[in-house]
Amino acid sequence: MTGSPLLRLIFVLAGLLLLAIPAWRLATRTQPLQPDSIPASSPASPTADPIALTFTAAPGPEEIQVQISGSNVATVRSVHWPATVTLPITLPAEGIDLVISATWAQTTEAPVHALRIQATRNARSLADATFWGTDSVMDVVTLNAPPQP
Amino acid sequence: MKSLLFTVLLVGMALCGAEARLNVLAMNPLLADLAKQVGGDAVSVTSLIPPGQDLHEFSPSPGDISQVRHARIVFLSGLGLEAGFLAKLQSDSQSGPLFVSLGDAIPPMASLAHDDAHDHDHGENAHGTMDPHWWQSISNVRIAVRVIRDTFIAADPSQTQTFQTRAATFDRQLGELSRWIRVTVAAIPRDRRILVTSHDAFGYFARDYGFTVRPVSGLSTEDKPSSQSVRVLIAAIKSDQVGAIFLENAENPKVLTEITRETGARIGGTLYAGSLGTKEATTYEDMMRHNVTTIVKGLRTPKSKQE
Repeated sequence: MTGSPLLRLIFVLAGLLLLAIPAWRLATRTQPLQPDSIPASSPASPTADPIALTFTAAPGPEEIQVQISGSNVATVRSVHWPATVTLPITLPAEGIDLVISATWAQTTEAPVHALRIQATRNARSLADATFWGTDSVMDVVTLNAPPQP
Repeated sequence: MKSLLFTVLLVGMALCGAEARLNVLAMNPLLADLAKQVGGDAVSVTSLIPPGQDLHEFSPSPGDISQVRHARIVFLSGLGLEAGFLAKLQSDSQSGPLFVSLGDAIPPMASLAHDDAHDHDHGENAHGTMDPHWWQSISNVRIAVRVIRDTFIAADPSQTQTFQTRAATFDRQLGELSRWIRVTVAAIPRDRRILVTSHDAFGYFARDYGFTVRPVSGLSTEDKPSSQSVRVLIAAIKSDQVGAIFLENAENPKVLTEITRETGARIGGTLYAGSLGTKEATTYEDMMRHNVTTIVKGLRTPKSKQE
């Protein structure tokens, strides 16, 4: 090759540069991470994890009834308080209303009675309410489904 | 002669007693009932709007203006419900009554069903997107009762004990009413608590008791639903398998009746949105009990099990 060495150097460098660009791209291009195949999330199937209802009262009532949509799901007659009953019910997304009714014996001297209801599932609190009445109470405890992760 | 003198004395005393009572004007029968519950015999309460009349379509007459002028206290519903004529009432009353807007004390709530995409034709009584039907929530009414009590006490301190006692008694009744509603409504599974009504008047009730509202028209009965919004509503009713939809006492049932034909839902009954009735639902408590009983009866049975 004849000509100025400097000129030849420039041509060589230009050629190398041209080759370097695609090589650099090849070396630095990051493949987009392919996410692990995520299965289509299935609608959260209602679980059958039981719900524990713990009743605390002093004096204890003669009887406690728990109703859902007009149907009786549990009756509690206990001499030891607090008393716990387990409901193997599913908890839909909209939640559930439990109608709690309790009656006290006429012989109790307390002018006002209180009944505390604590609802838990898997040790997680769903509701905690206290109702007051004279010889009976009837009120609603709403259990809301915990937010989906 | 003695009996005539005695009669004159009795009439005179009665008149004096009547004049001693606070002269109270309420914009509508529902507010009048609340005022009567708190005031009892210490107040004389009149409703400007008669029972059964649509609150949204009311326009005061000269006779109404005269009534306002002679009242000591005027209770307004507020939250824009009287926006179309309030200025006229106040200017024509000059230095007359004390105007008390009960809605001002209520934490307002935006319409749960308001959708800007809907093609509303708002009438004169437009009140934005804030729901003015605050009385559909008992907790709101308990606030209003306290305002009424304090207003009466300020106007007539000599009857403070009466007003406080009556307000406390009525508040207990409202608490018991709220409990009764919770227990009664619990008969409807939460996934069936969908309330289809003529206009968007039950938002506060829906909020308190876990309902979804699907009104035909907006916050005012003067809102005219578009054919598009009616089609959307019909599709939603079919999708939700709503078993019953509800008329309102002061509303034209035509559109809702057509919707029942399209969806197969039945008419569950008539609800009182804001105006008390003349033969039933003549008090606030009666109105709420009537509405809840009608709703529960209509929605308790799933559509698939209806005859």
